[in-house]
Amino acid sequence: MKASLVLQPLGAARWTLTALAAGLATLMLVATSTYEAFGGGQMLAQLLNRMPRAIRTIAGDENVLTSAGYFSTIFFHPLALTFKGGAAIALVTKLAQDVETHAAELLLSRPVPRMELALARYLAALAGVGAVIACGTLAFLAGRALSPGVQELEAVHVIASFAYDLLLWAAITSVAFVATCLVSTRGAAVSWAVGFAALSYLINFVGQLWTPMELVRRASVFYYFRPGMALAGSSPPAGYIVLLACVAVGGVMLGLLAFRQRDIAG
Amino acid sequence: MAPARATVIEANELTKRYGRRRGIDGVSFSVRAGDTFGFLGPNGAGKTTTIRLMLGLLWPTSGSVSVFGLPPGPQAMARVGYVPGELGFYERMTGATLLDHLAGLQRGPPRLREDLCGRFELSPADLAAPVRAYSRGMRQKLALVQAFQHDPDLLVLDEPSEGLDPLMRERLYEMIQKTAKQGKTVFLSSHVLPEVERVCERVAMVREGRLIVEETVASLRARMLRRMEVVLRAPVDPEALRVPGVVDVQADGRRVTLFVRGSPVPALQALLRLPIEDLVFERARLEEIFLEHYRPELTR
Repeated sequence: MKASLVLQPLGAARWTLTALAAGLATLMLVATSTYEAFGGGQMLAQLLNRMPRAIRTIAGDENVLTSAGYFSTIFFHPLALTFKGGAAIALVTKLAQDVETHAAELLLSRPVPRMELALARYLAALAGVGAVIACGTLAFLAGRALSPGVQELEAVHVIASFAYDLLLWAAITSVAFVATCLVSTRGAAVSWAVGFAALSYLINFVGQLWTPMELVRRASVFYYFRPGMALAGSSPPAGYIVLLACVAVGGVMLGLLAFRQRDIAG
Repeated sequence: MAPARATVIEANELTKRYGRRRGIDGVSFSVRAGDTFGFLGPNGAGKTTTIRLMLGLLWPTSGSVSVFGLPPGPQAMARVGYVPGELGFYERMTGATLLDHLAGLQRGPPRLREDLCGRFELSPADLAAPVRAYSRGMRQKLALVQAFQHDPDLLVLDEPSEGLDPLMRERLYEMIQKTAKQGKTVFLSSHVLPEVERVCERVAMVREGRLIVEETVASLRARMLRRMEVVLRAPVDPEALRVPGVVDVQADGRRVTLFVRGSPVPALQALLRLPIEDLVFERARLEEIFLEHYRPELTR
């Protein structure tokens, strides 16, 4: 595979990625370095108990009294979701933009197989999300070094949690990739990608909030993401990891096949 | 006997439909190595659809097309240079970076780039500017350089002179002719008829998705009705000019107009027997041939 096919979209989105990575890093640094000053899990638990259940649910279903539970909520923070989702969607929809602007015609009239082009665009998206998450990880570790209260979380478990987060975003990016391989405008690709991520989040949220919907949560990729377990050092169920990996790989395969079979015309 | 030239593009009953909408219908033609092949038709006739099928950007509904004997794909595209009708450049890249990026996707080096940039007057300062700052003409020059720079065996040009000034058009035609002289093949889709007439030996015309003509420009001209205007010193009987090849004669006093198809020799021999004062015999232009084929559509 030509490296330039992966590097070109990353280069074009470098400022966007820098801003998103800086945003996530700042969030992680603030969350970790203010842990003790804020009052830790006790304070968060008190705060959450005073809030309506719908707001409490946003924090997830972990025990926030533990540091692992406390910091697991940061992965579902709306800002964190926006930074990671922004990187994934900005990059993975580039392929649809190439079709829309006819840039794909210039690329595919060269000895570049369609599947190579599509895979390169997916890898660029994964690398972009990976870079944003890596910055978040480094900031978290830096904050941990500054704040003794956070040091009960082992660095290796922190890294494992962020790797698990990357797997979740690889799965979301893959589903968005299927959409981008099928449509001919970036706007449509963004709509489908945001729609999927939002719907998945909503299903998980409603499932947590309303017991009769508990089973439906399993239809959401967020259900299979348990960062609290990873932070605490206990492995999440292997089935969850396998399922997220299957969605990620399956989405890529499906997207590649769809892009191979479609007509390229903006 | 000259060796048979290899077939570079072969389309067999190529059909493309977009749902209920027609693209092209049963188009067949072949282009041999060294041909400069003009592809003509009004807007929406199916020219770009045919090109996209040749490049493997579209899948045919039925029929087939091959390029260098291969189905359209990476292997065939390694020998192709393409100027698209709609230019999709990365706007934030500089011209030089864009050319590097596209050249990096080819199998050979961009060995003609320097010469092409000189020929099309793209200075290093121009190439250092981002593409979004380029005028329409500059973009077209960049499109030409990226298509020619790796010295391809087949050039597929979709409206290549769009946006170019007359001087640059001239340079483009010279480039096409030079390329053809080297034995390379040029497939030129255009609605600029003098351009096709100038550089192409063979043409195909499409109308409403169907191929209506495919032959050499010379034989098309030979079949065309041409006008011969003669001024005589004295009026004559027009019937004396009804010789083979003369389809119609219109006389207005000393002025006679003959409509000739095919060889003009019998008409000229008949005229030589008459007291000619002046004679104008224009060669058939592709534009007239084009209009003859499309007139029913144009007057609808």
